[in-house]
Amino acid sequence: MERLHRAATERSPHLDFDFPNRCLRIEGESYPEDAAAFYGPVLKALETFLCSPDPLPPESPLVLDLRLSYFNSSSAKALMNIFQMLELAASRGLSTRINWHYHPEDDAMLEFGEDFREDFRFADFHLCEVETDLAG
Amino acid sequence: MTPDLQPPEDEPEFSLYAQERAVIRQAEEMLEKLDDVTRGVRQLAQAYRNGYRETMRLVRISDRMQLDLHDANRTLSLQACELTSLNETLLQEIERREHLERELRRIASIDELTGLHTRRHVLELGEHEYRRLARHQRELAILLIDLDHFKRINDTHGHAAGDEVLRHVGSLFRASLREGDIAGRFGGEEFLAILPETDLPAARQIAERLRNCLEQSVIVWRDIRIRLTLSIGIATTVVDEPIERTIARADQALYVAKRTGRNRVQVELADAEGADDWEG
Repeated sequence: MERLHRAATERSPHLDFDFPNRCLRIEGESYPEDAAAFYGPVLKALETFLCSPDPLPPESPLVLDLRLSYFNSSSAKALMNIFQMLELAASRGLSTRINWHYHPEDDAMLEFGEDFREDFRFADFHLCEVETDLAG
Repeated sequence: MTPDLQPPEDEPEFSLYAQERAVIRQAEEMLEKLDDVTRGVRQLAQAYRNGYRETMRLVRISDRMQLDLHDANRTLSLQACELTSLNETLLQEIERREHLERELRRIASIDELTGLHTRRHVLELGEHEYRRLARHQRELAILLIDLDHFKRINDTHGHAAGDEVLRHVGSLFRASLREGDIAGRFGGEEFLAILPETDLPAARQIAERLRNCLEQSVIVWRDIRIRLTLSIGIATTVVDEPIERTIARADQALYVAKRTGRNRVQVELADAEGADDWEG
């Protein structure tokens, strides 16, 4: 499964889905003009990865690091789709961890993380406070 | 569903209970189908529930973002208000400074007591006038005027009386000189008049008129009638000579006027005499 990489643009986040190492990462601001065009291929790739018979030995968990300073409603919908897929995979036995990073002064991001966390029963959803600002 | 209550044709032997068995079988089949429908409805409900939860979450997120946006807007409005008021203050300050600058310029250029130009300003104006006329090869006359025995007025009646005399002389000059002539207070009781495009005879006439005006006038100060005279030295510009030189020649003429009795108009002499000290 190939690594999926998108450099950040003004309206879309930096996205790095390193499937071989089970490290997924989304950082920055997300309000793409066409959210389906941006997240569609990402969701498809993730689905393909999760449905592939036995991607890796099970000892290394799948980790998704999210560090967003802003996202619009369409991006929120895409995130929820990703969360759903990960939760489903976790319910089937894949060790899954989601790190929701937020700046200590960003109450909204903390609240969104707390909101999202409620839906997870099988995957680990962690709220991580990070002091440093996002570059760029 | 059409109930088929006939026994199956491939039934090997007749049974008394074929009819009942068929009814039971069909009832069981219907139950199975009902289970399928129930499962389908459950899935549908679950899907709706998921969708409902997602929608709720999206609305919560949107509300939260709108709140932030609203706050940001309010902050911006407040900042805009502050900027406007700051701008107004700044404009007022600029106006105040401009007014102050005008006032300073006026103070620097107009002598408060006499209403005539200050020494510095009359020299500036004279320099300007001199250069303008030199371009057209025209003359300029300078009157250097000194009040006779002014010190006695101060000594006898006090400085307030002296000030009143200076005020009177100032208004007399402003009234007697022509439009375009420039008059300034040059020192304590010394005055300078610059007369553009004026030759010596015309300058002398004007000077005589000034002298006569003051001689004829009576200055009343607190019921005291003060009379005084003045002396005038006249010089005209020479091509390529700095205006200070012309003023110096007028000063020499004034000295002669003082020395030869005061209350006189003296035109510059062809060859300047030495300048001894004289009492004003």
